[in-house]
Amino acid sequence: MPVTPDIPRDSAERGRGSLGRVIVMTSGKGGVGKTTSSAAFATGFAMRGHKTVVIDFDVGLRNLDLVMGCERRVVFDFINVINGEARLNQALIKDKRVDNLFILPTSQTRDKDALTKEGVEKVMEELRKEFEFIICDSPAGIERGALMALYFSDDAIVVTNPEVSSVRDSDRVLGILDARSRRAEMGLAQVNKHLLLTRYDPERAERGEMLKVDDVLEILAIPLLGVIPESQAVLSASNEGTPLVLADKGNAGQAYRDAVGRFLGEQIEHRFIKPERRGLFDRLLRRS
Amino acid sequence: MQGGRGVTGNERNAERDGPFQVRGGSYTMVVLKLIDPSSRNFFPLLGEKVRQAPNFFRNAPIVLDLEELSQEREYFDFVGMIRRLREYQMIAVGVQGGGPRMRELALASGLAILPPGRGQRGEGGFRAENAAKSEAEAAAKAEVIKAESIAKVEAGVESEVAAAAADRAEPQDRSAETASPPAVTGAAALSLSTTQQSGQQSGSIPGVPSPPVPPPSPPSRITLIVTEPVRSGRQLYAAGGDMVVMAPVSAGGELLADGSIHVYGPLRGRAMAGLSGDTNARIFCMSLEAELVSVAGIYRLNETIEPLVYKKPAQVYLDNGYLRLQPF
Repeated sequence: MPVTPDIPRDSAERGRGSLGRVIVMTSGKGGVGKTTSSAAFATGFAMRGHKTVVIDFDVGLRNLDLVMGCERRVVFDFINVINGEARLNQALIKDKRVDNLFILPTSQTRDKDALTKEGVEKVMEELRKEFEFIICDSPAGIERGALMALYFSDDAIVVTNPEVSSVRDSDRVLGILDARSRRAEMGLAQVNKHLLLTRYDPERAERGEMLKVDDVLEILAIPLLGVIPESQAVLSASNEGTPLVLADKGNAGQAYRDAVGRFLGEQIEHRFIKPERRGLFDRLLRRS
Repeated sequence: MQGGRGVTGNERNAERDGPFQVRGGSYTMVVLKLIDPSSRNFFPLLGEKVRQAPNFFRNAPIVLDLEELSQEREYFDFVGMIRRLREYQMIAVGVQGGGPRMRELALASGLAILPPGRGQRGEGGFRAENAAKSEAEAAAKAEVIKAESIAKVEAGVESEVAAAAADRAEPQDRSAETASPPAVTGAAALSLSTTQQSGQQSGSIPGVPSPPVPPPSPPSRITLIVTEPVRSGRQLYAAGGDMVVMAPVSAGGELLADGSIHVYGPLRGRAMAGLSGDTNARIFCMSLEAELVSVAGIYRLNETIEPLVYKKPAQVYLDNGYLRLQPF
């Protein structure tokens, strides 16, 4: 399995080289865009040729399959695999649009107690052998579901909206990552943390109606992976079941594609942070 | 809080295999100062207090302070008092102060004798000012709420400093917070023996990078150095010494130290210095945006921080019992 040289950042630590990297998409607060971002990143990685699986950890509130547009193909799920009622290959759903992309849906009828540490670990170990990237779509909150989603992570993408309550919750989650993840408990290198600021509206930020990028960075003090502008396309893509990176030729889709590139180590300048210049006069002055 | 760090000597290791372990621990407890327990208003007023902060009092261990009871008193119905307190869901566990006769009676009633708290002299006594005013009359009858942390130490025994009652540290209801922020109520009586101070108290907070256990000889203060950001929801306690944080402290984070607190970054959470009553302790930070600062139990809330020092490098110290915030 081909692996980009920088990916297993601690292969020596794991001892076996080409194992996949587990990424948790987390936030604390609900409704900030974790599932949308999980779908976008998974699709983005796969489009670049990396074999990727995205797992829904929101047991009981199954959503990822809808956003990925595979809800009618769910037979077995994550919990069935944990309980040994199905093999992993039976539960994995292969995406029809993008090669290398797989979805592991969750159960709608069970609850978070079905996530045992041993069970999740077993599935993770199996997935690590087969996939380059394993994206764990965390439920909101800091309870069992969210803790299990982040426990095995090597990287965390912390999805935050530019508002104080979301930032506060993200801060709490960052503390939990440093204290209660497997890496923390085993004394390994810390989980790599990345900030993904979603639903950003540069004009409202400029007017002081929402927090600016710098305000959020100052409080959370972790590297910025990307800023996703507020966009109408997000809702329609979600309803349609098409990941944003596939559907949207507009700002939000581009911003996700940039963020995926940055995650893979490319140097890409941040966009959509400043308000767009408007009006003929501005255009004549700035763009010619 | 089980750390079990800092075991020294082989005999301790041997002890691990035995049917029990003897350990020291330190807990924050509510002290009920008995002033006029025979007053008819005693229990009605107490009940009112409990209603204001039911979560704070639920099954709380209570220490009865006998200091204010008249010395010549020959008899006190401890058993009756224990029973009545139970009705209010408080569990009397011991007494402090009082003459030999009273202690004898307490002992006979199944209460432990606790060493007198340093905080009881009042300077560390913690009370929200506005609450105190309305309470002034009531206080004559039932003066509650001075949580003191009582350290129980068995000489020569491994000790763990349990960071002051983490459960009670976050009052569930707002009234508990204004009436008596329990986490801050640190007029504390850490009567630690030298054996305890010899360095075994550093480790017991989970997730804190604990400094290496110092050699047993030079006793006294241990500094807790924190290099990573203190995120929301995290509580750190520098037992018996200072705390130095070389990173930001987020809103919702909490720093507790028996000594001073230094923050080389913005302080947006809570900081409580001089937790065991050290009125000389101070708080220093690069940008004062704290939710709450306190020294030896005297506190200020964010909304009372003057614009002059807000978001400025500043120090917080006690000046004649008054908490001053001074920009640099």
